[in-house]
Amino acid sequence: MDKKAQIQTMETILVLFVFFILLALAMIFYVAYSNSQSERNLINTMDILSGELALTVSNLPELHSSQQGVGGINNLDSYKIQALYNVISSDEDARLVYISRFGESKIIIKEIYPSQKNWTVYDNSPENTEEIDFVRPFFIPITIHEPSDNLNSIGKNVFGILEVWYYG
Amino acid sequence: MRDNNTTNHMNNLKNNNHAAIQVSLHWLFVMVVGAVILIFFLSIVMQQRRISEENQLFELRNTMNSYIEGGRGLDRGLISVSTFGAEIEYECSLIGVGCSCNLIFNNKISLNLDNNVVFAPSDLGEDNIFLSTSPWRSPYKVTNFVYLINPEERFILVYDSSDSSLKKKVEDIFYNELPDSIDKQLIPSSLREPIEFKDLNFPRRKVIIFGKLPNNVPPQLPEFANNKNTFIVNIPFVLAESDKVNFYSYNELTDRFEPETQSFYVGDSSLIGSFYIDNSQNYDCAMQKAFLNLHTVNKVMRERTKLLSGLSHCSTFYGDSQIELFDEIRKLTKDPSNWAQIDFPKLLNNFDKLKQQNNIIEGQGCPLLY
Repeated sequence: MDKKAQIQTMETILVLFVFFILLALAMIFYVAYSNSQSERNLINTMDILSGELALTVSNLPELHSSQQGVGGINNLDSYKIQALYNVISSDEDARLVYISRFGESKIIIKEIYPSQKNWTVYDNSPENTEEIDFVRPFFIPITIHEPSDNLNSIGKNVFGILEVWYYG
Repeated sequence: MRDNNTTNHMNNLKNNNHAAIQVSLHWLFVMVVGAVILIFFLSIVMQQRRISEENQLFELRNTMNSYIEGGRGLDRGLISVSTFGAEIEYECSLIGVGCSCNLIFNNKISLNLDNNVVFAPSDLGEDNIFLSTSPWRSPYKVTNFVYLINPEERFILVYDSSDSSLKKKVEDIFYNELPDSIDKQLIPSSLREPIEFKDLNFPRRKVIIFGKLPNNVPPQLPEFANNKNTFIVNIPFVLAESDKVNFYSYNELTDRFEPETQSFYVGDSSLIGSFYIDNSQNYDCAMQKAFLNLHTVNKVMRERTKLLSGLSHCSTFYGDSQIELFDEIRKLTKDPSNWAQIDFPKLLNNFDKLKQQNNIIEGQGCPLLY
């Protein structure tokens, strides 16, 4: 009887040992799966935040082209783009306001047709952007309104793109 | 022989007892291990449940952020946002010279609203909430004000019936500015007699009184409304572009509504904003942020005017006199935390002058100032 009970206890310990090994294996797989899932979630979140920031920028009254306060959809004013760039580069208070709004990001407005022009309106990228491989740019097609001048009495609209890199 | 039998019997009994104890110990061991395994799995389930709840709150937080950010681009809109049963609170606190406003979800996760101008009651409930927007212009568009409305709140608009000019303005606000989805009622009153309205079992109510109150004392409300869940907003001169807003809250000790604080509205959007708050500090913070936005946008508009002065055919419209108007607005709004001290008539005068300049430029076919 004594030996039988000892054998039974040993059996139970063995079963538990195998059970815990299987459990540990399952945990290792689960943690690996969960890590890859979190990485994917992080990329998705960064994509969403980039999109939101791009939407915010395209709707900024400081950039939006308007006729008596009525603006077009995704239509930016070329003079406002330059003015915002000048203000952010020269006015520290204004720069702080935009840092709290845009965070660590880079906002580029590109004119792509008929001519090519670039404005890096805001750049607060972290130092080692090469190391952050999960950040992807978000693009929004826009039109840029160039106010009237000697050649165009009513001004003209040109095609462009808004490029936003959001780092967090 | 008899002695041997007795000894054997004793030995058998001893062995049996020993075996029984070992079997019991074996089962005890199995039960302890079983309990440990059960506790282990239960703790995993509990942890997963907590993580899942937190994820849901984060999802809700991000959704609210998207709606509020999106609201900045939508001039006039109203949407209903599901809160999935999460309790949402709105809180503003003074930090240094500035102000910080947060939405707090289930007392666990918070969303900082940065420079978004949001008007909301302290308790947004735990059901759907309405999000509505309205542009704030001065005279160029500065930002969109975002209003978060608790559908469990009732709005009673009372106006001084003796002032005929008030009726049109208040009706315009009632029918065109306040969304139809909320529960609202319009009541003409002498502002001296008690105000009568029915109890529709709303947990919260806001009484907005247009017109000058006799001795600055609000009229008596029905008995069911005399409690902490009722908040009174008084706008003595609603026809003005900018004027005072008085907030009254219920004092349990005196059993009366007593003045909480006095503030100001600038334009209809901020007037409407005062209807949705139930705490004067939250209103003050929202307006601070509005003036911070105005100050920043004004800098960009000034810089744009300077750039436009380079246009040879229109340069006369973007000279020093126009830039001075922007400079004046910049000086008046340089300290947004003290926005209530601004010389509002002077500020509004500058807005009017900018409007006039814009109208003149429009007639000449040159780029507008805004």
